[in-house]
Amino acid sequence: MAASKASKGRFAAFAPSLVNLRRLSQFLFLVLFFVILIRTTLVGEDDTEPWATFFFDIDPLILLSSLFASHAVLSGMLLALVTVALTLLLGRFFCGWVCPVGATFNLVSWARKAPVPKLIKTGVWNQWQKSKYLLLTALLVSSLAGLNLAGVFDPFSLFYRTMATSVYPAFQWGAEQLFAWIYYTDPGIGPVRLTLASEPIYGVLRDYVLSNQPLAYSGGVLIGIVFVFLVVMALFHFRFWCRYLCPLGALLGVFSKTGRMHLKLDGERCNECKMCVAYCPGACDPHLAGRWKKEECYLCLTCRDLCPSGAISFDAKIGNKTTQLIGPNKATGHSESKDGQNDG
Amino acid sequence: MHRSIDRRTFLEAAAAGTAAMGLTPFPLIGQSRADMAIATWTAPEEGAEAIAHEARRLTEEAINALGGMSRFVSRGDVVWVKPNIGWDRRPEQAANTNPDVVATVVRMCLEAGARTVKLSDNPCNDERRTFVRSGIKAAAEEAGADVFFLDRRKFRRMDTGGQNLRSWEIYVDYVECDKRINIPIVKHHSLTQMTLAIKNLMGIVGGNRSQLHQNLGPAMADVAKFVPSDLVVMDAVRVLTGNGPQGGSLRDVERRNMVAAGTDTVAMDAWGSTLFGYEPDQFTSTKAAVDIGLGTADFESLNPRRLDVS
Repeated sequence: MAASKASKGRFAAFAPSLVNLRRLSQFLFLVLFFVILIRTTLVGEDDTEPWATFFFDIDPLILLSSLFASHAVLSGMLLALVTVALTLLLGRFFCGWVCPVGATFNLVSWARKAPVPKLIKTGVWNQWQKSKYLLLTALLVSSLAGLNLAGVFDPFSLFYRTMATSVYPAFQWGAEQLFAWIYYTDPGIGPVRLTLASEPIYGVLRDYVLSNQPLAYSGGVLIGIVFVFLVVMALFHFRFWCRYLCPLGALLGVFSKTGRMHLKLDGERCNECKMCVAYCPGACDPHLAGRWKKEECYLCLTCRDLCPSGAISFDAKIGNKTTQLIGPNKATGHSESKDGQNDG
Repeated sequence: MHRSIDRRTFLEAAAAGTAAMGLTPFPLIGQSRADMAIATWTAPEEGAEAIAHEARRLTEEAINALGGMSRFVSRGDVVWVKPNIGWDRRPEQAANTNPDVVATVVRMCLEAGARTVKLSDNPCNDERRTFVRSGIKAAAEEAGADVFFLDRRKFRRMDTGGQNLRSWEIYVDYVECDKRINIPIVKHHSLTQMTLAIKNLMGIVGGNRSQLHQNLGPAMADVAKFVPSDLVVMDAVRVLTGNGPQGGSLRDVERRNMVAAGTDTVAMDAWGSTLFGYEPDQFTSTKAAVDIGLGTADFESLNPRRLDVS
């Protein structure tokens, strides 16, 4: 029962829902990341597109550490103030809706196959999640002392570095080998050759995706190993990097303290099935009424979507007034509450 | 070999016929057909537009002096135009062939009825840089050329039939095209003193090219014989006199305001070497090319037509 429930929740693709809207947003930012990555190569002139630095510009960690370390910022970095403002208002929506690194680890988590009790066990908040605040503090102190380590620990730096020096060259090598092998051997039956399909594909890759130079970077393997470690860990703990290590997530967590969005758990309806905990990427304890950890919540709305009894809603506190902004997912709640009870 | 004899016979007949009809734009009667022409600009001016105009006019005049592009390119031909696009340098740095010389050749090929004019090079710097910064991609595409990056998979090891370079990776499409036009720039080379037409064929050679530098001149002479050029157009509008082949400093660039065209690759290289004060057969590539019978280093024996253009 739990499995069917879970798969419905996770793979209910294309249905118009807030969760799918969030997935679309993540997908588009992820695509944008790769478009920028591939377009930011030296194609003729010395200039790159002004939007090549987009993800760094909206990154308040870069803004802060640069300000601390060099007492100066580039004007484009001021875009990060928009991120800060929205975080002060909403909370860590950035991690759930924008960050391409988080989206990647979300994708990794899709491949995770584990029984729900185990998911629940690794899904509750634990002390180690504070370590990212330590990393953030160390990074900012070091920046104040003149050593800016954002280039090492910032999630976009990490992701760019990994993709550019490790994943992209490996993909390039693999694609070149594959298409060269097909080109030389040309398997097929009679006039129907594999090259009829492979050559147009290779043409598109060559023109728009691959570099035309063989790529290899010293350190690419080591950088790749670090990323593989994070991917493997994400198979055991949802969004391991984001929960435990990400200094940007920690910074946004600090800013999120004033966030107006609040998770509201309806104690009457809750049957304590803990589906919300099982699939919570941030381990923000949505199942504990009154002890939900705002600074760990990515506002991904998965808990609300999965709750079989429709007990979770999101409220907005404006002044003294509380308004229900995102109501419980009644559709899921009503039709499948029995399943949920069985899970509990 | 057969093809060149056939063409020669045909062209002589055609030229005679044209002359008889009195349609020739220049005096052919009583003069043997030129196989080499050297066009010199008499009133050089400063400024990019003036130099571009000069390069276009010199190229036209030099090729027309040989009988026009239709002598070399027939209707329906696939022509490969091979400039030097080796370096991440701008035209004024004279490390790559002048883009207006290249574009003029492309335009003349298409006017002569070429089906396709292919244009590419296997450069030393990143081709995404060199093709743009040299100005050649933009100029040649505007003239109608098919400018593309080489497909690494199409370098195949071939038997050159030569003594110095028995076999090497050479670009298949270059070997298989109908006509080949080599457009080098005259410039200094730290290893071989100069690089001219024969060495420009490095751009259709693949494999471990640095290994070729052990015996560069003779090896490239074998390549030049294996894939002979139908026409060589040599760009000496600006020449690079030092720190070649890459150059960079404008102090090493000198304006010579010349474009030469010819059918004999060796004679063209011999002429090019005299521009820097060397003997016509001073370089190993020229000597080796003479030894294997690719052409003559005595370019004066071809009675090159010298044109003053303005």
